[in-house]
Amino acid sequence: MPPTLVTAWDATAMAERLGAQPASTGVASDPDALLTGDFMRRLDQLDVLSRKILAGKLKGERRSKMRGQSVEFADYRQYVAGDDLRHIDWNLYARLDKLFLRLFMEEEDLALSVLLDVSKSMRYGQPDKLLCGKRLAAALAYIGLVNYNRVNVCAFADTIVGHLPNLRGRRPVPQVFDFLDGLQPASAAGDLAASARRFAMTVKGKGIVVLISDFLDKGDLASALRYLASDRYDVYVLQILSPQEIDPAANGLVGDLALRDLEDRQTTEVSITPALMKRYKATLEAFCQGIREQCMRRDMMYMLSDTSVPFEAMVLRYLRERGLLG
Amino acid sequence: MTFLAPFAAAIAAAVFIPALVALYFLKLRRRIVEVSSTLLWRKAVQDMEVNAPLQRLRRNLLLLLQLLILLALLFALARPTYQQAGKAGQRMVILIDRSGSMNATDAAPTRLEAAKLAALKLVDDLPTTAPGGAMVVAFAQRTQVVQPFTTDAGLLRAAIRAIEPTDEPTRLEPALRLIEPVANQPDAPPLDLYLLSDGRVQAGTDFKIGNAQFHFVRIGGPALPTGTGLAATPVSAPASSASSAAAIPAPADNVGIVGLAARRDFRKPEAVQILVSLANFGSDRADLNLTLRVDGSPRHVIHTFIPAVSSSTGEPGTQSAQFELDLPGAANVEVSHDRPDMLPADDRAGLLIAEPRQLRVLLVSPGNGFLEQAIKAAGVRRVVAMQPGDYERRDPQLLRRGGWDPSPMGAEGFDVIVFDRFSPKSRPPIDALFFASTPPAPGLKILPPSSQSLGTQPVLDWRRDHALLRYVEMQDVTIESPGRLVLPDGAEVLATCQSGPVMGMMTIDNQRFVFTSFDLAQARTWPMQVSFPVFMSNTLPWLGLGGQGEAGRGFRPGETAVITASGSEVVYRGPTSLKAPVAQGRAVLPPFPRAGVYLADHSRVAPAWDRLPVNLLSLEESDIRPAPDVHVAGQAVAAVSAETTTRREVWRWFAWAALGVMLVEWLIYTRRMHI
Repeated sequence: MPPTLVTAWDATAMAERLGAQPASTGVASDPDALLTGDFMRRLDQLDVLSRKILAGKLKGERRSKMRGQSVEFADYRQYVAGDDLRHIDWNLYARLDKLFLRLFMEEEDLALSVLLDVSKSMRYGQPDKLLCGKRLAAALAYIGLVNYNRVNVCAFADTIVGHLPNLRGRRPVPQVFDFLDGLQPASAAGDLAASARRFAMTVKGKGIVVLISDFLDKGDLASALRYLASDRYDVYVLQILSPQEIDPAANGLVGDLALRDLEDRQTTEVSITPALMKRYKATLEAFCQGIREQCMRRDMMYMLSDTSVPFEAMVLRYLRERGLLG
Repeated sequence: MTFLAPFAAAIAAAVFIPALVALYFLKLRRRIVEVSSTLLWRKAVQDMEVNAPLQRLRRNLLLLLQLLILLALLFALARPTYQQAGKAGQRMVILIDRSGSMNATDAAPTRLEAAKLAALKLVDDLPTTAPGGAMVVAFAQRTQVVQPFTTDAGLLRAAIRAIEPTDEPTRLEPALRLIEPVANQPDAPPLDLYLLSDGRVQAGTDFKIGNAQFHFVRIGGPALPTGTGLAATPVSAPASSASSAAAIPAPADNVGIVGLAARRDFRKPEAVQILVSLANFGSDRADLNLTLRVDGSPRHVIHTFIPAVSSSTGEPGTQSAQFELDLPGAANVEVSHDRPDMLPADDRAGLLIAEPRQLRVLLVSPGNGFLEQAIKAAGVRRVVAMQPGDYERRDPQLLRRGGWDPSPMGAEGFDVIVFDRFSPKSRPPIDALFFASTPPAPGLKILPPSSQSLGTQPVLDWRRDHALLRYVEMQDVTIESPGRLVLPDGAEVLATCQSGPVMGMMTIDNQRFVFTSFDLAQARTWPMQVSFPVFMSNTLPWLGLGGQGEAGRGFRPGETAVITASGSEVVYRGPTSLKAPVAQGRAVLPPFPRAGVYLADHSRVAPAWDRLPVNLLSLEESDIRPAPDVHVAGQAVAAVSAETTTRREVWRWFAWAALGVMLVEWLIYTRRMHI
């Protein structure tokens, strides 16, 4: 089945139906809007790419390792008893007097799972990390859906708190947007390991997994990633941080402070000094580098982003550069 | 450094230092800020503490600085002061002693120069904004305001530098009297009185210094301990006789001639006895050679010694020496010793020995044979007795010049008149001795004995140091119902009984009169005692010869001399130059400022007046031992050195230091907090 292109008219109409902004700058007018019509039209030209060829469950628009019944010729092989006679190349039999079976390329769909962290820590920052995550998830889900991929959207905090399973086609796009729009920060502290474990148990098929989180989880990150480090998944790890987390002092965090954790309400007393800020930045860099190394060790693609980076650039440039979109 | 308010600072320290430390150990009230996660912060803080073991110390640096600030403020609160060389109050009077003892060389070059330097330092510290400024007074026997109140430091310095030394005796009281109105001026700014002296001063007890602060800046002598300040011995501390008696001044290296007299023998007029009194103010016995020069030529040398200062009483060691020689005519004699010391002015003394001359005495008496015999016994050449009525008929000038009687006896005048129980109507033109009578002078009279003074009275006190009463012992003299002398200003009391003064003297127009309130009959046994002829032998030559001894004439610094001279002006050159106009054949010289020999043109002055020896001859001025304190207005004021005259408050320094440290603390804090 040839890939279906979403026309500009279709995207605009859908955006209007979704209440998205028709602006051309992504999220300019309504800061809480997930996607704009113009941006969705630009997303129509993209598709989700996987570094692995993963077997899908349904026929799709994606070449499979399997030989199947598409129109695209793949190879010949000798006939053996029991083969489907309809696939015998009779012209070749006429010339060679031997029975050969024509093989065609099998096309499968691609499973795209977007895991969005909705723990309390995601609520932090200006712009909001959660909003940024929602937009990313919306964009990825939209791309997946318009390309007839099987899309799972999961929201997690201490566990999976919301799940839209096995969506396909354009029809569930509003559903996805509504789902994402309705996500609120969870009251419980985040537990990435438990959530990943739960996801791995729930979503059995193969596919691309995009994990969107700030990873400010006091649990063991390695164990969390271990659940996703499987041949079944082509995992993309998107870490989102806010400018307030990357450079707190430049964003007004000065003086003698009692820092209260949004998730576990624990308090840490600090006096913001140049030495402490230097140490904080070094710690943050080591923290991010640790996540990167964990991901590389498990053949996962890691990407760090700042919520101050324009959303369009993040999707259209950085995700394409990382090979997630193409 | 001392503190004016240490208790206030101690109380504040007891409150604030623990409070500051307690505050530092209390938990800081921190602003609560929600963050996405404290994960990274905790790691950062842990890393900080691990990687910076001195972090606690660095954090405590602010505490240390704050404690430093607090300490500086507490110091300021305690009002620290330190002794400072020279400081002016709002008004300042500088009294500079320029008496003879201030010429001692223990403070190089002399004490007076050191006093002037100290005064200049005081002027240097005089605030230009002081409302009253400063006044400079130089004093010795005479007081001189060398600069009235001014804030012009240039004038004050010039006046101080212009102060000349003298050898005069010290009299502080006239100086204090001079500034007493200034000190007690109502509604005037506070006054600081700085006495720059060696302390050999005397001041009366009725002097009122009002709200003035009296500072005795001692010049010379051993260094005073630092910190001996006025606050330690305030002027209000009453003088203790015990403490003053115990305060024996430190010995000073000086041997001085404190007495010199010459006497011709009555029976052998060419024989002259010269008596020398010496005093040693040092801690060691002084061995010296005493040289007598006659008209500049050494005549005798005596080796003698003077004992050291008594370590128990502080009395100086004394010694006497006597020269005997024949001097048929007038001569200048000079006695000197060869021991170098700190005060050269008293190392020599001179006298003009007059020609041998026997007195001619007129006795005016209703009849007193005993007195006439006593006058004759005093070695006079001639005695003429005259009745009072007869005296009143004579021309007094003829009695002086001669020709008072057509007989050959009347061709000669008299040198002395002795009035016995008779007061002339007019003042006699000749020096006179009065028994139970007085010369006509305002304010001078004899009050009849009161009922309390009836009966025999002993002589309680007499001036042993006066030339008239030298070697006159009056402790056994009793007087029957003596009258009481009432003396005007300028008269001296020579002897006192219970009823009051009974013997005195005064000088009127350069004529000297000695008078008693009793006659010889009232004096009972005195004429029979040795002391009476000694008194007559002292008095008649003293009056008749016009000198302090029978044969010698010398002057003291501060004294004046009346010279018989010709021309319009007489000039004497010596240690200083003295000029005086001549009027009616007489010239009254200004007071001699310095000891030494003053010479004049012999053609202008009468013979034997062309050379005037001026001698220090003062036990007080030769005693150059610096006094530990002075008594002013009945109060003891402790001495301070010139370097530690005043006390300056320095709390501002600590306040500024606190501000400076606070600035540093703020810089460190902001540098630490600056991102």
